[in-house]
Amino acid sequence: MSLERYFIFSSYAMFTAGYVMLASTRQLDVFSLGLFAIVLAVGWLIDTGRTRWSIGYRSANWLMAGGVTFVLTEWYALGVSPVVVILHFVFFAATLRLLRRKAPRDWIWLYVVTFCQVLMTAGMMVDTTFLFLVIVYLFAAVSAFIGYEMRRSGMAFSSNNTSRQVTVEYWKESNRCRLDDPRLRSLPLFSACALTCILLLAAPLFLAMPRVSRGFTRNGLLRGESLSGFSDSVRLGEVAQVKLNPQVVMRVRVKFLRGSRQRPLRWRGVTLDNYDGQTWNYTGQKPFGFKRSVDGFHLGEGDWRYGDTEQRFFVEPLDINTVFAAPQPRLITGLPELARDQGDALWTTPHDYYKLDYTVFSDTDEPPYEKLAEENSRSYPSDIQRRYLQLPENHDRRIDELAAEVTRGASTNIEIARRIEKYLSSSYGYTLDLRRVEDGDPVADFLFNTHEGHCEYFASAMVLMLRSRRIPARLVNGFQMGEYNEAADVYTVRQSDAHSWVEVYFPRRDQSGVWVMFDPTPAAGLSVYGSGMAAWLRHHREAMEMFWLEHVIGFDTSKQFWMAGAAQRWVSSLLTAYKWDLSSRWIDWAPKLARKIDLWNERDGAPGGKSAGAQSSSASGIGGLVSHPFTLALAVVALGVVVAFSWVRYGQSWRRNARQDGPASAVAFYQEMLRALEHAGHKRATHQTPAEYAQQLRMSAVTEITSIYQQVRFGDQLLSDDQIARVDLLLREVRNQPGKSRRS
Amino acid sequence: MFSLLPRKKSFRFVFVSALLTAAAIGVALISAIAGQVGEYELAALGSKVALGLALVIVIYVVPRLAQNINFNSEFSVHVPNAGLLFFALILLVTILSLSSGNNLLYLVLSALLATMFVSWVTSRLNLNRIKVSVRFPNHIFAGESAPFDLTVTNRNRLLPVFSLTVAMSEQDPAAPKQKDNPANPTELIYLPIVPAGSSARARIERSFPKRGIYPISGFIVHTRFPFGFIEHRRRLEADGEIVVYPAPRPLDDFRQALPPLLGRIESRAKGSGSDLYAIRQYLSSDHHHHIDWKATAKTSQLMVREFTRDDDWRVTILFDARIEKEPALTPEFAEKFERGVALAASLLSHFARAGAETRLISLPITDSINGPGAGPLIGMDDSGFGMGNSHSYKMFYQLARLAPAPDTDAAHDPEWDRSDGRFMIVIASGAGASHLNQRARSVEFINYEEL
Repeated sequence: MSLERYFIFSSYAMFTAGYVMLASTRQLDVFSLGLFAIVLAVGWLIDTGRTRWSIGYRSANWLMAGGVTFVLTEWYALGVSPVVVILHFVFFAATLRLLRRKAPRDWIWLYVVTFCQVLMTAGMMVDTTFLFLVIVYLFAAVSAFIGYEMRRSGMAFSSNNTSRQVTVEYWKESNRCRLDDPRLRSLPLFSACALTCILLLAAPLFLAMPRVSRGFTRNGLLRGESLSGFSDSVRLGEVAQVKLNPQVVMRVRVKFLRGSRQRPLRWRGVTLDNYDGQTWNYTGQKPFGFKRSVDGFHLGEGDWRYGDTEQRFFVEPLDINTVFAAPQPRLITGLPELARDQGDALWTTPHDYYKLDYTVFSDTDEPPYEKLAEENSRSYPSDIQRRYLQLPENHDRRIDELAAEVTRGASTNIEIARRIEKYLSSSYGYTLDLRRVEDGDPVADFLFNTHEGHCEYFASAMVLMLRSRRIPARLVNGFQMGEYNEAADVYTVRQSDAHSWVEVYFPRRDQSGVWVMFDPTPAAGLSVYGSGMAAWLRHHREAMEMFWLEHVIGFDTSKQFWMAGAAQRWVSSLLTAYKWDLSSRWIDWAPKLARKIDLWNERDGAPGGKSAGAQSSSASGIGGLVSHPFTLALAVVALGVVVAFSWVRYGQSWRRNARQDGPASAVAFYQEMLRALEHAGHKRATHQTPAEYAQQLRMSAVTEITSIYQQVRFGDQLLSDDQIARVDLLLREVRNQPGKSRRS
Repeated sequence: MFSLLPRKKSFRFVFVSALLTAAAIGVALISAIAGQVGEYELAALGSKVALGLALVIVIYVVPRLAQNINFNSEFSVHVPNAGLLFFALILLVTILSLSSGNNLLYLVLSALLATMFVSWVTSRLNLNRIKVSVRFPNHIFAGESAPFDLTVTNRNRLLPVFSLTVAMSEQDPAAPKQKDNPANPTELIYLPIVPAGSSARARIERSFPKRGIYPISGFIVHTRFPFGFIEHRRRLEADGEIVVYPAPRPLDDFRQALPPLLGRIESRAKGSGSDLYAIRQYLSSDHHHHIDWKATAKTSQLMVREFTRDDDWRVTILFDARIEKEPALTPEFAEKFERGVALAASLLSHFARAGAETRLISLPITDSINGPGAGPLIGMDDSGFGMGNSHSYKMFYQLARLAPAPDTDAAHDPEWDRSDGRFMIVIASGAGASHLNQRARSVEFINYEEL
């Protein structure tokens, strides 16, 4: 393959990689994508000489003006999204250069435009596809730049030396055989090696770079999915719309702690208390905010505990502020802000453009049936009565009769609730395809006419029936637990997992109350997930996505500290395994130093000091900063640089090569002599030959070294042992010469 | 015992830059940590200090990166425009990463930084273990093409060398010598690839428009491989000099300027020997025995033969390069001087071909280390009489070294062996010629300022 061909091929591979990256963001229409693909093909034909057509510079300027007008029209007049407008402009700018015969600066322009495409993709895409595409792009870019550089160097030499025609012959040194003209086959291999080195070096750089944020994974340019059914007001049927969408909403990693019973969980979203016959509304006060402490937001009052279930949520960018969690959360970490309303729904700041990564500790244990039956009470606080016993004005009395009939003979509230739940789940069918028989209350229509509906109807019916029996109940919109992915150990929750259920209030003897979950939706209404090879592939792909999400997209300062700590512990365990007592003292010196510094600070009243005896392993305080793994790593790196510099500067000895490569060692010791003389103030002028220099200095040691140098260098000899010793002695003599001026 | 503190300016630059960068990173980290633990004032102060340090780095480091940085006498680094653009991209991505917190941008930034490092190392390795040698003719005449056999050897057994440009650093004899700024190297060849353990050999035709001694101070190999962001240059020491002789021209080229002299030269060359000198038209003074009937028949005009001198014919040419200071360094004077030297070479060549023993005396010569004319007059160069190619080259070498010697005492008449008082031609400037004219006899004088 010729260099020109290699260069053009790799450049177009780079442009195509950039194009594919933008196409994979799915932000561009098919027409734009198709058009640019054609432009790429035509550009290829122009550059490979298969067509003579190209646009001229003047035409390109007019087209550029037209293009700018077009994008401005798109933006201001047509209301197209700014992201799409920018993408169109980037494509257009590339098109004008692609369709003409390219000067060197045109290629540079196209490389820069392609790089901008990569940056834009980074702002719009966060899944593992980006990693693969970036690697492909990097390989193409490495090859393209290599080809461009070689081409440019060749052209620069030719333009400076137009009259010089040179024929080059290649000879193998080992056997003095003539070689054929070397092809450039090794260039792709070199590109692959260079790419490997770049990736290997980029990984630790990525891990070590300081981050300024903690915990929030940003998406950037694209607005997140829209999700209905999770606001203050939800019309019956909105959740069903959401259930038609298979898009992933979030992923949840669940840990059941302290040997607690594992059970299916629901992810609570919003609670709704007021039904007007068509719409459920929240009528409580605005959410009140929590103050964040060092370890997060504490939701429990009084003597709280962590709870028995830990859930880590990875939520996609959404246009809702709801914080999903299992019931009875006690502690939440990783959110910028948190608020809770009177319906116990949780809220945070809008995250239209970025993902959320937070952890919830919940107390998911429910009081046992027997306890609730025993504590059977009808003493409700006034607020509970007002909000959760409400019935609509046009409430259908048939619902009351039905509720009474279903619960005949039930003596406790819990039994009433159970009977209603069982009745609904067994007597009605599940469907997302609703039909109406009569106007009026859709719930009544469901109960008495159609006998089938989806989860919202089941839950609404149960709430109305319970309220008709004077038992406080509320509607909850949220999500089912999701599909478990054993490869990634997460539950993948999709929009199709959206669900409605019921919470019933049971007063306790200690004047408090507890909300207990009931789900009257039959089993047919719960999500069913596939199995087999397709599911296996999907799970493993998701596992890769999760790894990418957690360890790359979500990589932040806390993870850096964790990694540094883990590294320290690993080293410590290794050394302990070898029973190196001295080394354990070495490992301990950092926190000890930190404590000493902090104690010193405290004694002098300096800020940032800690109390004596407290181990300074956190990043606060001067001692902590000094002993911080990053600081220590910086110190090690600096020491390494100094050692490397000293070795390069002083360690390479001409003696090493003296017996293998005479000329190289001659150059080395001659340069050592030059350095010593320069230090003494006798710098050799660049126009002086060695003989002239020696004659000028009139030093016998210099003259003799110069003579030996010329013998070995140009006489192709090796230094004998005597000569090596002699040169050594002479160099020492030169170094000890008094200089013209000494510099410190 | 060696010092760990850098002595060289460039090493100090690296040390200070590394210190500034480490300080900026450290302060930024402190600021980030302070923000996390709620010390917002400290975080704000830290971020401002970090930004200030970053600004200092940009002002202090970037301009120097754009210049050549000599880390040692052998390797040097230059950042071309493409490299500056790349640095600007890195800066842009850094700002975007820090402001957005997008880890994918951090990924891109890591890749860019790794690319820069790989580029640096590869470029440096590309120049390791390279050997360059060149062979050229001992005798080169100005204006004539001379073959230079260049050999570039890659002594690395595993890695090929890519995109290498080889230049030879030679001093232009006409340019003033600059200690810190050697002459521009002359690019000899560009090699896209030199396979591992092999050598590339090329024959390059070069011509030198001016005569003189071109000292070779070394070779410079440079490459921007692999990505064109950094140019590494390596200076390979080399010794030698290219001697370019003045090109002899036919004497007819000077006929217009020196018609009487050339006639006298020719008459000196002619004699009663047996070797044919020339065939010309018959003059009344010619002996009829010298008529060449064959040429006469051909031309239908009476033609006679002229013969060379039969006796030992010796010619001395003295070139006096001493001049007064004023006209010494003007371009017009330099051109005249060159014509004088060319005339001397032409005359020597002519007489050598004619079979004469030739001798060249050139004066003055000075301490060559400091350059011709830059030191005290220490004598003259006398080739002695001789014949043959080697003697001719010796004289041409003398002529190649000649340079105007201003500021010398033109009245001081050097002593040379005048015992052989046969034919002598003195070439000098106007002042020198007039001075010598007063002192010598049987000498032809040529004022090269009138050529």
